[in-house]
Amino acid sequence: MSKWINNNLGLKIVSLVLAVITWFYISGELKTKQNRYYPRAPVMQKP
Amino acid sequence: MDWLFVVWRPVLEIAILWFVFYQLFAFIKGTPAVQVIKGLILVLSLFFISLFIAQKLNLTIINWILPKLFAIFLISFLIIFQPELRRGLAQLGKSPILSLFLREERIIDEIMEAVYAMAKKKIGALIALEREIGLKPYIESGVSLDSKVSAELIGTIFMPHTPLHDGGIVIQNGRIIAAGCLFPLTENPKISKNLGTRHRAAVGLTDETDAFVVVVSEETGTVSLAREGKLSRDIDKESLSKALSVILGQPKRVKLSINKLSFKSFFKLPERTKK
Repeated sequence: MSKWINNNLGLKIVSLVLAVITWFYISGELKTKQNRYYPRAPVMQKP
Repeated sequence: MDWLFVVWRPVLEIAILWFVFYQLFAFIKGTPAVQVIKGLILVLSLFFISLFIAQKLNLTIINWILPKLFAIFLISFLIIFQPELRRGLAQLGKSPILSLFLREERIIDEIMEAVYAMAKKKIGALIALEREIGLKPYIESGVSLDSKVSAELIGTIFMPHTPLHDGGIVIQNGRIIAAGCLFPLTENPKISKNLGTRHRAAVGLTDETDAFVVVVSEETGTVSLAREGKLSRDIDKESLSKALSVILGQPKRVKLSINKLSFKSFFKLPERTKK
């Protein structure tokens, strides 16, 4: 197990950092574009 | 425990992303593409920093341009890395699961080609194929190789007046593991006195192990197969191919039972060995 971890450790760390950054970036992007449902949205009527 | 249900999805997603990134980096490591990737990472970093600043300062035009540039960047990525992508897909096609059957077929073809080419030129050869019982003592008597099975290599090993030609080669798990190996000579009195040392060594090895040994006669240019202490002489291509398929084509654990059940039905050769 330790041999597997130590093998290409630098690449593994860089990949993990990139994976975390990508995940946070994309989840942030998705949150801003989420559709929201308002069941009782007030409707303005012309007087 | 509720946090576990909240966390498992992001953890799984990050793990998948990590795996993809790691495989990608491991694939391009040591290739000229590394320099290009470094440049790309720099450009991407600049892109994200610019996007962040543009969003914070509410720069509408820059905010509009940057995502469009990113799309162009993705297309250029595909064009720049076209050779690497092609190579990557080709490697996927060569994955162990997909290439298992192709590999066995290729090994059989290589052995067949080598054996019958040597038979035609009357070059003697001795090829042992390891099965359940290990051939370690005999491998250690020769020269370690550990190379791919190829007709050219087998032909070169058995070329007369070369250092390794006077001995046998051992094929283990689809690789030529050693050459110039010494096999024990058979002491079976039923074996014909006309047979030379090479054939006696082939039968001797199969007396002691479950290996299959292919022999090419130097004198007659015929191909023989030794198994279970018996020698099947002058066998044709089809029979040898079937025999090799049985050895190489089946998983190790079921090899013995399959051989015992079905080998004799298509390979009626032991009778011809009794002289």
